[in-house]
Amino acid sequence: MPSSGTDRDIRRKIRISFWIILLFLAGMIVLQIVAENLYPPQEIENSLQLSRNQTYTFADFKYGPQDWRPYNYPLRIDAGTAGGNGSWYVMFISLDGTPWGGNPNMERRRHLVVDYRFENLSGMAAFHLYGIRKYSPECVTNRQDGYGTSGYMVIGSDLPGMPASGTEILPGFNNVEISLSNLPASAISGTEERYLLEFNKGPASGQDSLHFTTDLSFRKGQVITTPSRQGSFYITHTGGSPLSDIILMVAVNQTQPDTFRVHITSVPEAEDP
Amino acid sequence: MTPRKGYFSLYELALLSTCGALVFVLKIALKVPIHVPGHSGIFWVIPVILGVGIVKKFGSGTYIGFISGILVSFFGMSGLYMFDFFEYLSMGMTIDIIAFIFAYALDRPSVGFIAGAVGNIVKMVVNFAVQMVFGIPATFILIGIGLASVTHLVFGGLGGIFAALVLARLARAGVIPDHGGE
Repeated sequence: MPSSGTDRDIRRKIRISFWIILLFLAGMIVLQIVAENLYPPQEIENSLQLSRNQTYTFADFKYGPQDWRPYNYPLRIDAGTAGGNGSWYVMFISLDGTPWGGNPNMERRRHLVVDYRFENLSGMAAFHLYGIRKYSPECVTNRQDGYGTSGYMVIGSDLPGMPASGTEILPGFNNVEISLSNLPASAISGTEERYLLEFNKGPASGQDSLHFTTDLSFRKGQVITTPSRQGSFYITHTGGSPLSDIILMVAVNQTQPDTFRVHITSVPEAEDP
Repeated sequence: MTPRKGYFSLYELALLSTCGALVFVLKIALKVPIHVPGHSGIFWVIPVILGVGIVKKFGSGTYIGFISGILVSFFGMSGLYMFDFFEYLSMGMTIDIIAFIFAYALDRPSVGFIAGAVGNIVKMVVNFAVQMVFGIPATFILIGIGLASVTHLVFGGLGGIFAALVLARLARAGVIPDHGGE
C-alpha cells in the first residue's frame, strides 16, 4: 500500500489533471464556437454547392459492349431486372458535390439530387454509383443483392442506332483506371481526368454506403425501374468514411440513335441536423 | 562474461508485444457502427493501460504504441495508412508519461480515466495534425473539434476506468504488485 504522503500527492495530481482536462475541453469548445461563427455552416455549404448540367450523346459512351461493371469481382450491370441483351455501353461522369453520411445525431447530412432527361432512348438505361473515399484510395459502390440493394433503371422505346465505334471493353474489373466523359473543374487545364476504381478492403466490402432512392425516408436505397424518360433521384450516403468524389456510371444496353441525348444535373442538398 | 541485461525482461517484452497486438486486434475485430468520433478508444486504451500498469516501467506504453502503430500501419487498417503509426506511438508515449506522473497507480479508476482520456485525445490531436499536413482545410477540423474532444475524452476515459478496475482486481488477487486502489 502507498504511504499516506504518496496517496495525498496522487490525489493532488488527480485534481490538477482534471482541471487541466476541463480547461482543454473548454478551450476546444470555444475554438469550435469561434470557428462556427467565423465560417458559418451556410457559408461552407455555399462554397461547396456547385451544380452541373451537362448533355451527353452516344459518342460519350467510351466503354463496352460488356455486361459487367467494376468491383472486387465483376458485377452484372442488369442485375435484378428482366430484359437486356448483355451488351451494355458504359460512360462515367463525375458529379459535383458528395453526399455526407455519418451519425445523423452528430453530423450534418447531405444528399445529391440528380435530375435526368433522356431523348430517344433505345432499350434500357442503368445508373450505378462509385464513390472515392477521401482519406484512402478505396472505392464504394451501390449494392445489387441482399439488404440495402439499390439501383435505377429507365426503359426506352426508340429504335436502336448504328453500331458504335471507338468503344473498348474496360481493361479489368478491379484496380482499373477509368476515363470520365466529363472533366471536373480541376482538369479544365485540358488534362484528362482519370480515376482508379479500387476495391481491396475485403471480398464483399464497400457496397453499403452509397444508395439510390427517390424517397429520403428510405435512405438505404430502393431499386427503381421506370419508363419515365425524365425524372430525378437522390444519392444518399450512410457510411462513416467521407467521400471526395462521386462518379455516376450510365449504361445503355442498345446502340443509340444519333438523336439520343441524356441531360444530367446534379446538385448537393444539405439536410437539417 | 555475463550477458548484458536488457531494459525489459523477456516476459515483459512478450506481455507488452501481446498488448500491442491486442490493440490492433480490438481495432479490427470490434466495429461499433455508431459513427461517433473516438468511440473505439473505449476498447483499445484497455490493453495499453494494462500493459503499462503491469510492467510499471517508463517506456512500456511507448513500446505498446510502437507495436500497435506498426501493425495498423502495415495492414492499412485505417485511412491514414503509415501515418497511423504516429497516432499510436504518441498515444503510448502519453500514457507512459501519465503513468509516470501518477507513480504507476493505474489501478485507481480516476487515474485510469485520466490516462485513457488523455491518451485518446492526444491520438485525436495527432490525427488532426496529420490531416492538416495532407491539406485538409483547418476550418473543417476546427468546426468539429469541441464535440470530438468531448467524445474522445468520454470514451477513452471509460476504457481507462475499465482497465483500472481490471488492474485492481489483478492486484487484489496477487497476480501483480498492489498499488492500492481507491
